[in-house]
Amino acid sequence: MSIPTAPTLALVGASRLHGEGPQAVRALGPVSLEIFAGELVAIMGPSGSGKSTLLALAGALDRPTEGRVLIEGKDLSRLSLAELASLRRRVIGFVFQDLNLLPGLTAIENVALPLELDGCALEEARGRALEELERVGLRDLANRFPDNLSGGEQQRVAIARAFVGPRHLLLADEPTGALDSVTGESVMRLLKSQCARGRTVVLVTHDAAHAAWADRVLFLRDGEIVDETIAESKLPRTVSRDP
Amino acid sequence: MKILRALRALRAMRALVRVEWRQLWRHPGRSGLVFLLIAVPVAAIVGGSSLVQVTQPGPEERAAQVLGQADLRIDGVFQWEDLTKVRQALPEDAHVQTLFAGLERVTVSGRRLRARLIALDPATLESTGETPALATGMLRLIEGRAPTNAGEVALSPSLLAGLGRSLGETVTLEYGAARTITGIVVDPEEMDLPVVLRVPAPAEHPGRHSLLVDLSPSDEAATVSALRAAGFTVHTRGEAARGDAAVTAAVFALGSIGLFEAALVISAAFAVGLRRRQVEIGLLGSTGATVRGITSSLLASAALQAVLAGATGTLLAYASVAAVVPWLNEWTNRWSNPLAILPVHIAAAILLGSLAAVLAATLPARSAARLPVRQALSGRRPTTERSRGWLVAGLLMVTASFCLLTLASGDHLLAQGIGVVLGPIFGIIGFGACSPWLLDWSARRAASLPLAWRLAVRDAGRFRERNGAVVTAVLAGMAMSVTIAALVASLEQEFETFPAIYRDDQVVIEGPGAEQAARAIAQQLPTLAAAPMAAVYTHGEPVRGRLDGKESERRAAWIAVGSDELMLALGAEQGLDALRMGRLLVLDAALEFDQVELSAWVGDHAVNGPQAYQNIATGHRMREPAFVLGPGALIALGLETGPPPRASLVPWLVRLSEPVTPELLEQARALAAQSIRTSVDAKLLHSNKTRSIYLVVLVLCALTGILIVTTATALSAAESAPDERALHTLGAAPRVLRSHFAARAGYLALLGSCLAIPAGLLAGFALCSVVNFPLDFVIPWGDCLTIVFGLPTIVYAGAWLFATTRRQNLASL
Repeated sequence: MSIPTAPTLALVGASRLHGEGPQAVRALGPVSLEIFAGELVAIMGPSGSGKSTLLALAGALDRPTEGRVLIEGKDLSRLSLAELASLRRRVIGFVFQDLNLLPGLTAIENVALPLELDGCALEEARGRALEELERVGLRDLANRFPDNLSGGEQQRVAIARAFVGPRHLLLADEPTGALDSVTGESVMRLLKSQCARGRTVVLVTHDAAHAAWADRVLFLRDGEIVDETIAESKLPRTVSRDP
Repeated sequence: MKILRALRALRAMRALVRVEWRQLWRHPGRSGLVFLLIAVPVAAIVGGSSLVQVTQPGPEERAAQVLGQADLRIDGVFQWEDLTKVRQALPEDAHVQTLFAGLERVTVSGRRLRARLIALDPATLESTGETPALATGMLRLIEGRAPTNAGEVALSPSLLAGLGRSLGETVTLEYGAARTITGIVVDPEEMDLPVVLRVPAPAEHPGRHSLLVDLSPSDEAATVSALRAAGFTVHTRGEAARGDAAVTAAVFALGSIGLFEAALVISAAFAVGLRRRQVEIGLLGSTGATVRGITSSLLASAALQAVLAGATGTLLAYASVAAVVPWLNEWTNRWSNPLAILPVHIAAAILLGSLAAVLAATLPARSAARLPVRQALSGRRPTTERSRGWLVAGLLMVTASFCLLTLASGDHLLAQGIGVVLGPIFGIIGFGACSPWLLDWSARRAASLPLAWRLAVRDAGRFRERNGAVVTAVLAGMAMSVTIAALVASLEQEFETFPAIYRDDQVVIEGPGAEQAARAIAQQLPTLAAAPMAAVYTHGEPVRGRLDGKESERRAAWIAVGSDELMLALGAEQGLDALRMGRLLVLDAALEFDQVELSAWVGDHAVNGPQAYQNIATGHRMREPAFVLGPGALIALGLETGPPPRASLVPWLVRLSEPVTPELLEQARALAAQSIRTSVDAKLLHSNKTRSIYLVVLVLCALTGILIVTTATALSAAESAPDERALHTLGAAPRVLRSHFAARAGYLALLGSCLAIPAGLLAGFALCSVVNFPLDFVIPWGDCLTIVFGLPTIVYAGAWLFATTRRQNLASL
């Protein structure tokens, strides 16, 4: 029997309003969900349904108007700006649809950046960055600048950076949106392999084929979770009554 | 723990600075612009201060000019007995060398020139052994050797050229036989001064004595006191070496103004750059960089750029000054000091440049770093907050400026200084601070403007903080020309009250052929009168008159000997009767008087004067002559005639029947040239230079303004590209696109020029308050209108012309 663990990410009645009074617009919520370590969770929904807002709340890029967001049990609303920044260096990684990498840094420098920003020594940071690049199969391209990498390669570098060091929660906003289907599939395979190592991935996607890689798929409409599907492999096994 | 924390912060900073450093090379155009904006003012400051150091006498040179290498120089040794008194006041171990100075006449066949005489033993100028040469530095021997006996002399190059002589040839001095020229000497502080250097005569006139004294520092104070108590003039080394650092301070002040202007444009350049890097800064935030870290790295990048630019500017400055050093002696007429590298000046200039860059980057860096990460990542332009805060700050500063200017018009010197310096600065910054609010206010009211101007005004309002810096830069530059215009207008009004040198229709002929030339002019040009202008003398000295009444005139003026022709030439013919009656005529008296006080430098002799005076108003108050006395009265009072003071011969005054034009002046000159060394003077040749200075300042300020607006427009071109693309795809006519581009530039220039008027007038008012004579402040309306409409028109027209080349590129958008 497995011992239940605390969720890596939890939203408790979280909602986000823009504006005030009768003109206020509800972008999200109230939403409650829990995501555990090792899960790959996909979020789907039409434009304006609150997917990016949910991701922003989860990644401490925005604060909920109501409710709470907890990362490893810590209520983000109680953290200062410096503590939130520290969270982004040590826990949370982001991958966006495009423009993920700093154009003035090489691949290895981009991957090492969170460690350097955290005060890690240069050699150690570069060493760990190289390990992550190796995991994503791009060790040989470590010294290339983003302008000299393909779209897929850039996304892999972004994924490597999202997981470098102690980071174990990746929030991805349509990471395959600008890629062809083959490259997109390879990126999803990579994300899945990271989950197998105990890391957590939450991604927003429009592509059902890519969502099929997820352990769970949450459907949003008008800022609310209207449906949730669980991958068959994740369903609890039932004992057959047939003789 | 603290050390660990500091180390981690340093490592984080290093990562961010690396990002910024790489950015500099990715955008060489923008980085180059910032580089130039720092390097040029720093080069100007370092170059200017180096030129001052090379061309101006330093403490050693100032001291050497007066007393060579001596500790004291004693003048006023008029009698032989004085020498004894001096020697008694000096300590026993004091070393004394004698210097003789005066005037000398040098003659060759057919030529005689006057020169400054220095007579001293050769050992006084150049050390021969144990005794110091105390006059070293007063003269510089550039060729040959110093004279060693009575048959030798050294002359300066200008004297040699004037006499047509060279080394080895002979000249004759005032007394004695011919002397051989053994050397060429110059006064290092005035190289074209005619100088004669010879050994002292056996009985040199005592009035020419000066003593150069070398003594120990402990004896100096007591010796100086004793000598001064005895009535001698004593120069000490410390006093002679004192100079003023005003020129260097002025160089730094002007350079700082340039850096201030540059900083405003740099601020706009940073703002544009950071806006374009907004997503990248959002990425840094999403990766865990703190706001403080991002801000610090942006400022560190600015400082680094500034230090590199400052170092480059310094090298350029020294290279430029070194390139012109070979010609400086000729240009400045003094022996230039060797070019020295002044670390303090270099450090100060680079520090100023770095400060300017960091201050310029501060606001844009803080705004960019504080943008919420999510908004930064979206790439959307952040909403700009209302600019009322800027308006309040601006009005407060303008109010402070007014308060400071009231200090300037007070009596206390320090308060005046603070008021006149800080008042205009606060005014300029205050009006500049109001510009974001003005941009916003205008943008909200632009609906009724034509399309191109509507877009331009709204664009400017959208990016009001960045454009506010540009408007402030234009305003600061143009405010200077408004200030100068106000000063010039005020001075010109004051000058109107001064007596003119001549009437418009007068010509004065001076020289041996004055009479001949005057008669020729009277025959060939339309002339009313021509007369000699002799002065009244007594006992060989000119008689001068001074009006005496409730107030007295400060200066005494010479008296002309009147005649009918002279009165007509002066335009004072209405005084003929009074002249014939023996009265002393006062021409256009400036104040009410009871009598005219007469004086002359004739020792104990009293000056006789007429009892009756008459004021004659010619309607053209002129400087000279102020008084006229008829020949009858002259004889009756036992007075004589002679040339006016400062003239060796009696000049002639000719009054033409029309104002003197350049053509008439040329004709008069041609007639005067027929006589040797005869010259012509007229009011035309004494034009007021103040307006020329103002025009130069106006052109420079306008060029600065055009450069600033052009740079700002080019920097923001990318942000207006979507608008232009939209207009293009919607089928806007080409002239609409050109108008839009030109209006963006013209609008900023117009706003800057309008704000420059009150800012510049404030500064002008402050300056008029502190001059040491009463000066009424005059608002130069015409010049203000020229500035308000001139610069924007030029900028608009230039941008319109440039817009044609940009249109070719729209197809590629």
